[in-house]
Amino acid sequence: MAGVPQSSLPFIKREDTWAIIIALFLTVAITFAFMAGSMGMFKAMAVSVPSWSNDVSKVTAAMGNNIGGIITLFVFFLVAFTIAANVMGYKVKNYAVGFSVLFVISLVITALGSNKFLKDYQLETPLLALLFGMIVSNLVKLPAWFQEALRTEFYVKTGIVLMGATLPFTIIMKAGPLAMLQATIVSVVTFFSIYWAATRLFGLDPRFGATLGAGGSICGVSGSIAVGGACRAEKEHVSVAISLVVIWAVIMIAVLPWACLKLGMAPGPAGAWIGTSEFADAAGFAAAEQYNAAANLPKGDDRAVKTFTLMKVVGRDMFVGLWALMAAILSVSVWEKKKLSESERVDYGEVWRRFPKFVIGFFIASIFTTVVISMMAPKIAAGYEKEALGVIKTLRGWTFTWTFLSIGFTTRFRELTSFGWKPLAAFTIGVLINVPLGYYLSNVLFVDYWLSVK
Amino acid sequence: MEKTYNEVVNHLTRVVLHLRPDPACYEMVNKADKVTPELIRDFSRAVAGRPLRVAAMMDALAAIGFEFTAHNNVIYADSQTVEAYEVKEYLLKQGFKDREFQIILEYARKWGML
Repeated sequence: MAGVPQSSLPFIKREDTWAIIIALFLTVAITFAFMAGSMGMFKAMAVSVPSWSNDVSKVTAAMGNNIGGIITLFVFFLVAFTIAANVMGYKVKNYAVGFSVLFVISLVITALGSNKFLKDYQLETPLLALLFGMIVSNLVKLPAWFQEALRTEFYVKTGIVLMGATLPFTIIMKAGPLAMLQATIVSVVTFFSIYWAATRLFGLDPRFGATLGAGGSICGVSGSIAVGGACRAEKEHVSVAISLVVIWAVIMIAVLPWACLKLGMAPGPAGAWIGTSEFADAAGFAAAEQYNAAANLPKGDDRAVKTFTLMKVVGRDMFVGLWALMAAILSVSVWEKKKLSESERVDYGEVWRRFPKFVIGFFIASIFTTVVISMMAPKIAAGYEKEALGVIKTLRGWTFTWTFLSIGFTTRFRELTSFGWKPLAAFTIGVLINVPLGYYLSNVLFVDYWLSVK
Repeated sequence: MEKTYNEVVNHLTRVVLHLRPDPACYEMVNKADKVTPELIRDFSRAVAGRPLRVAAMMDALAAIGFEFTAHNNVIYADSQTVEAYEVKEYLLKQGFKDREFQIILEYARKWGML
């Protein structure tokens, strides 16, 4: 349901629920198909575009040869997303038409992103999708029916749960605690830097400072929304914080992968740095995928996306509820100058209410495929990883392409909230601390850990 | 109140009104040095007064457009126009105390960005 606070909705009407249902259904169905030796349909659905330079016919021929796969890919996601859209209360007809157009655009962008000439300029699919969407949406008013299909969060959450299926739970267990430690260091330092600058240097309201700090340190727009709500920040302040997050996140989609490449970083530390210093999940996946594509890594090597996910999803996103609870307690006591015994009661359910539920799906998917692999003979397990998880990786890639297009189409600068220099300066101080600190932790202090993630 | 900026979020302000009395009511009995019939009468008045306070808050909230639902001995008063800080100031001005209500504020992206 557009623009309605998710936690006020029944479980079945939430984006997180449907992202989990669709991604887990795919994971289980592909696993059974592999076991039954009938992967044909799913293999065809895993549409990929070959690299090309001047010969467009190479792409059209490849697509023409797999037209059945393209149609199956389209029909599966159209049906799955439209059923979800219907239950969640989207305008179903508009959504279906809008998604169809988004799918066609994603095919064209993926074909263009596979062009060697554009790749030389680092215009890989993620950046291309983002730029195309931003140029169109900032020049032309998009029709309402198309906007109904621009569900950045829904697509990225579906992709994250699929990501869980391809990330062995053993890696999560091994690297998770370090990711949490690194995330805690960066989040605490950045949050309090922004908060201190906002309140002490620039005299902004503490609730505004906390909302800015959450956006710059915990998990971008979701962080500002969670902490802004928990500490009862004004709507204008939340709007300003989100606008700043969007602008910086979009800048970082281009800057961080470029910096990783220029600094000659290995994929593991590069993904960890992006996971530490990018502000939003969707923007971070765009940056990590952009690095992956621009680094010319062998096909199937997605170490950067794995370490990004460990840092962002496991290290940072999971703890937004605790930050929200801290902000809620500060809000009704310290900032209102009241003793806890006299202040409004804090609802400790904040921790669960603000917890991003799609993370549960991410863990379930990871545990499921890890258990499946552990029960297989080594040779069969290798085949499962190559065939079944290979298909899941490709399908995940498509959900991310729709995410990146949606980011571009919804980043409409004229619709963001204008802001004064004070919040901009406070947030920028946080960025200037967060980015070098993230680099130091990822590529110096904990570099061995991130290099060991395969 | 007219907004002079581009809103990028929608909000839901929820005032939570528990029909059960504040746990502090029970503490006046549990922590009393001497338990007397008069103490229990005070306790009874405090407990019995709670629904009336909730009703009074509902009157005040209805006057600024809040709508009500009930679930598990709790009244929820919801508004998508009044902001959380505004309703808190308003309730305190009407003479209610912080511990008589809880405010939950939820924001959601207005459109599908990031």
